[in-house]
Amino acid sequence: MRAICLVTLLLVAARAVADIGTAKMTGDECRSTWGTIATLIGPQDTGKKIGDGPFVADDGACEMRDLGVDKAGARRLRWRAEGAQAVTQGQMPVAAEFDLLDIYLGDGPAKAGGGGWFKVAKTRVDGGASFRWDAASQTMEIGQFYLTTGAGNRIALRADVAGLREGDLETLGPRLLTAKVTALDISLDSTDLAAFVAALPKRNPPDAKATTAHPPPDPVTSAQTLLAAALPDLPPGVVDAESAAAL
Amino acid sequence: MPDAAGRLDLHVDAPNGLVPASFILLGALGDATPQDVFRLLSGSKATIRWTPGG
Repeated sequence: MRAICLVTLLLVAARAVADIGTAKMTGDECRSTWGTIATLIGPQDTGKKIGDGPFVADDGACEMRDLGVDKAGARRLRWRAEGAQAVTQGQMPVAAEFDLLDIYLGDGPAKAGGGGWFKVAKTRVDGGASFRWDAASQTMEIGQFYLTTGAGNRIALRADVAGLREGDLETLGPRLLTAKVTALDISLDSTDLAAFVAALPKRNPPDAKATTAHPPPDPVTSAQTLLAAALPDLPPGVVDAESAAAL
Repeated sequence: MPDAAGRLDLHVDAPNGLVPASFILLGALGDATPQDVFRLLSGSKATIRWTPGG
């Protein structure tokens, strides 16, 4: 769940079009917005410290250092928000941007190795996102959701979203999934595209599952179960009758 | 698949809107056909461009 929240935060970050790159955050804004972010991503029941900060960086961005939740984290998390008061109240800001620097997943940092996508990282992985949201028109411009690696690989996504209903930050993920993407740009810069694609996570082959003492849950079955449970809550028209019956 | 450095761009214009949940659902069903994907993309225009270099 925390990982999903972390990804949600990444998905809503906006750099290119948010045009808040020079906005100066105050110490109070950094502390109050961090309180909301920590609630979304942090260990809510243990009170365990998940990073150092927040600080106001020299360029006016808020910054947390040595961020870690479970076995995932980053050396630095930087963010800005236009309408920070809304974030403090758990609501959508007018615009925001996030950058996670030197991300790690699992037991070690990306630069120490690891599998999957990090095989092509070699040095380090950074990621971030940004958005600008207009409550009146219910539209969101996702300026840039990106991942870069020190090996010269970069994948970036930009999107225009319509029909994004008003709501709090905690429900942003489901609302984004049921909104309408009217324009989408995906770009992939790679020093070796074949190696990049080959390193992307894949499903376990059937014979590999059979030889595993405790096989991981089948992702298709898990997703079907999850979607079947969520079906009654989805807005009309998202799932056609035939698909709903199949679920 | 180009085995070289470069940039891959995908651009989609979807005046009717693409609902991300529909694609996730299609993937979860596991037996989606290309026709199912095209049905979701109906009314959209997609452009793919490969630029060698890097």
